[in-house]
Amino acid sequence: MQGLIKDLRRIVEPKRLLTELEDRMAYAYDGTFRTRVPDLVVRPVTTAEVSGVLRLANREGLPVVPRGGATSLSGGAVPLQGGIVLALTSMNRILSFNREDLLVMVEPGVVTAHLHRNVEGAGLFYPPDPQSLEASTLGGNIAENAGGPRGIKYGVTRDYILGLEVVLPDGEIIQVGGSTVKNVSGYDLTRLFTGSEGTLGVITRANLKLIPKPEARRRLLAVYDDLGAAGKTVTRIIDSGVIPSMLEIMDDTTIQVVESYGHFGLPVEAAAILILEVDGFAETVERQASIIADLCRSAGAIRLEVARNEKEGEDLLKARRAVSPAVLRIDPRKPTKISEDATVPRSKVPEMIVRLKEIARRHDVTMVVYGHAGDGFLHPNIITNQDDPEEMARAEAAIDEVFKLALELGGTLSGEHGIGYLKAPYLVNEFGPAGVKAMRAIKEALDPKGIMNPGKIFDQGIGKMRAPGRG
Amino acid sequence: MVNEERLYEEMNHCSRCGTCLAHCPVYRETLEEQYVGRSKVFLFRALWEGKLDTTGRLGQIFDLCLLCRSCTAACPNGVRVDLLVEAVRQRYTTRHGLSVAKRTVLGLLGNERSIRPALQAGHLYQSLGLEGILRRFPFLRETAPALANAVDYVPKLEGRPLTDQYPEVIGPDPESWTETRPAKRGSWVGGEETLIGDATPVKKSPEGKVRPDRPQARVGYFVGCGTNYFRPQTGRATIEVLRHNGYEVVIPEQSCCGLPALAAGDRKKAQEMAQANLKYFLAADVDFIVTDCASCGSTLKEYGEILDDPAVGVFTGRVRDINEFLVREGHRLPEGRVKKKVTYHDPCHLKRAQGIQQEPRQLLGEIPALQFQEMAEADRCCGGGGTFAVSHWDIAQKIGRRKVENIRATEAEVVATACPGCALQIEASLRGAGLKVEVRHTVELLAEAYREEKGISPAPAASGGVALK
Ligand SMILES: Cc1cc2nc3c(=O)[nH]c(=O)nc-3n(C[C@H](O)[C@H](O)[C@H](O)COP(=O)(O)OP(=O)(O)OC[C@H]3O[C@@H](n4cnc5c(N)ncnc54)[C@H](O)[C@@H]3O)c2cc1C
Ligand code: SF4
Ligand code: SF4
Repeated sequence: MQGLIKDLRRIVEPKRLLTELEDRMAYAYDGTFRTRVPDLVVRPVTTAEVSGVLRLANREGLPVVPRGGATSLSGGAVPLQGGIVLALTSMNRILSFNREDLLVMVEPGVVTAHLHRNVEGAGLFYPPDPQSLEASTLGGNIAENAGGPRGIKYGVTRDYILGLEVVLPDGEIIQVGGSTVKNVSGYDLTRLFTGSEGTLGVITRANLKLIPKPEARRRLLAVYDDLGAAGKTVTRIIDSGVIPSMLEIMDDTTIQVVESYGHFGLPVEAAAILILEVDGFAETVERQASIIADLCRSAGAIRLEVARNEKEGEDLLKARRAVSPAVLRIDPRKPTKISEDATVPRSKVPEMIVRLKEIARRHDVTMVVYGHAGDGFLHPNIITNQDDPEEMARAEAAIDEVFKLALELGGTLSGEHGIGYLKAPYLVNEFGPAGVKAMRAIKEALDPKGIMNPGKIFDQGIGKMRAPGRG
Repeated sequence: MVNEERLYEEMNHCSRCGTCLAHCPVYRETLEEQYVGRSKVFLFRALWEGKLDTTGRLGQIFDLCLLCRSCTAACPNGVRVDLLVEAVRQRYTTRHGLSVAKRTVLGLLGNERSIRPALQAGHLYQSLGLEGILRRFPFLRETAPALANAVDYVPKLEGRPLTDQYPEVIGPDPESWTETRPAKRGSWVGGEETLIGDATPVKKSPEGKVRPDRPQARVGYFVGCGTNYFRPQTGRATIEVLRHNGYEVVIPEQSCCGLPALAAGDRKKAQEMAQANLKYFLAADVDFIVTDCASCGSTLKEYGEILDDPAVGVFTGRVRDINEFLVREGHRLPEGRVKKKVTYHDPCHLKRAQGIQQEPRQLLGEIPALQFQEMAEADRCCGGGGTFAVSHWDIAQKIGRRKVENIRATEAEVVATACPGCALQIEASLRGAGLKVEVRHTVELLAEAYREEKGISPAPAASGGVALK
């Protein structure tokens, strides 16, 4: 290790190499509950430094874990097997901004919200909006292929990546994709690296596509006394020709929890609520909003609120934003939250919710369900206590069933958060042994020594981990 | 009381969501995870579980905290990182003693007898410069870097603290005082009143006590070290404004509020200071305890967290920030014009610790001819953080630079704020950037407006020139 440290000092400034335990400890975690203190932390500022570090690590066979904002919810940024954490937060420049081509080139450490503010200031729009956007980085968004509420209309991160600069595990620097919307030269490596969770290489630059910023938007809140009716609204809207820019659902438990936390005036007897948003040119926004309002009513909404201005629109979102903190306060004896992101085809959302509730009942676990119903993405959250093995066992059994259910309905294990270590044991259920083998073959071709983020995506037999730590 | 249980709870509430990354001023300058709230919670847990001890880097990491509570305000779970930081610092102090620089500062603040010579030394310092001082007092070499920073930091000193410039009890301005309000000049805004007997409106104290003998309340003025030693002009304005509104001002004997001690981890010292203040102010029999220092105000209001005394509730129930006091208990609308473009900086300890943000803006908005221009990120920490600015000069300066740019963009001539700590830091940052903008407390501007309406100008002389009583 001493030799390695000496070599690393030749690559990065000494202050960018953290060796003390206390400093390294701050890089032991992400938004999940497993932790492991890395052996070293390097905070590079250039692609050349990243390349130098990878070359050395590859020589030594030492694991390297890229890290952005460490907000990952699947465990992507936890250095499970120690090694080097490559903290990319200081590679945070917006390198160029090309209005005519609607392009922006960024380094991976740029914070998502910072990019939003910059391009929106110029009347442009970068839609991907993971709810962690004030802390997450674009590198992390790309590596997780993050999405958000706007996904229903605007797609997810991958839809905005035109090209990347990537440092491969042996230190080689490659360019994939380019600066054009149309590009069919060779294999589409851009999409391969997008969502690769730091297991194939380090993204050091990205060319992002922008679109013009919608001129106006309008939000609505629809209240239901019947979950089925809410589900029916979702399918009808999708049929109607209007594509909302947001379509969020909250179930009865979520409503009660949020209401007791913050008193937002939600009807606690309601079975479900939908929060919707439409955007576009001012004239069309009115029309879209009225079509959607009619649809909600005819599908059986018992109450409908249309925000008249930005402020009221913001207020409508407050209840949605309060879900996360509220959920943690449901029960002081249950401080652990396991947040899943199983996703199903949109039409299956109502059935998914009903069956999730059955699962919760059967395993006697506290579960709240909310999410981006518009794109079939649900967050079943199980509230439990990680220090209580019996409770954790029930939670785990419930989660097993949640995954099974999602797959049975034609969905996927993860719509947003990635596989990480948390869902690695389940990957084979989704793709079968042959599917996983094909993925492994790609991994082994690009990273023969297996130094990039080991223990993620592919199960390494560590097992289903509801291990000590906090969530 | 902050006990182990409370700390354990704070620590357990962190879900490691990372929201604090976007809000911690120290993290935003360093971009190093060690310094953000989330990491401090994690390291605290390691210390708690015995995986870390206090021999390594821990102390330095926990030293880099402004106690600004920006993390707490944004945290979905409301985690009080500042309490954990204070607890760690306390362990350090118990184990390793205070650093030389901190010992010096705290020693001064805790001791009336030593701060006077220090103020004079400050005078000397400002005339001799650092090298001159070190030649004369070689034993100070150890603190030279901190001293050098302090030179850039400290404004021109008056050499005489505010409390030396006033008697203990100062009656209301006789001219502004009438049997029945509203008074002759200016209309009265705010404050609840009770009518007694012959329909004379009187004020009620926070405990509902009516003082029919006086039309206005008896206000205990907690001066605070920053105002007393570095910005006496703020104190003069506070007294002037209170008197102008018919309040009686009492300045009882008092100690430092205890925040610097608490921040340095010297809980015992802080408790002693708190106990002393409790005693002095309760004995003074005042209706309110008012301060123009946001940091003191938040500390005084939270004495319940450090003192077990049964009287602590009575004390804390009387504490008001000066902006809060004037708006809630009432004041006269100023009629004199202050023709200036003014912006406002929210002190962390006012907005986040006390939830006061509208009041100072209201007061500024009431001043005729004053043009108010909100700055971007007005509530972003200025980087002062008490002794932080002196001990972590580089980071504090970086944080300050951002504030300067936001001030610059407003094209204001004056930046108003409500804490002498912020005022010192912002002044130093402005000086560093060569931007000529005046830094004033909101009460200074209000006092100027009142003076203007009475035709008294300019401001009273710097020291001792105020004829009172
Ligand atoms: C409160 C909260 C809300 C969230 N909401 C959403 C949401 O709505 N939608 C959503 O999709 N996700 C959400 N997430 C999850 C998370 O924020 C996203 O996955 C985000 O993209 C992670 O970005 P990051 O910068 O924090 O990456 P990190 O957590 O640091 O890393 C994530 C993964 O990317 C890898 N990585 C990071 N940078 C690079 C790089 N430059 N090159 C190669 N690999 C890299 C890491 O190794 C790791 O595997 C949420 C998380 C939280 C805490
Ligand atoms: S915002 Fe609060 S809960 Fe989230 S990481 Fe920071 S301290 Fe923890
Ligand atoms: S109190 Fe302020 S400086 Fe300290 S961790 Fe929180 S945000 Fe950062």
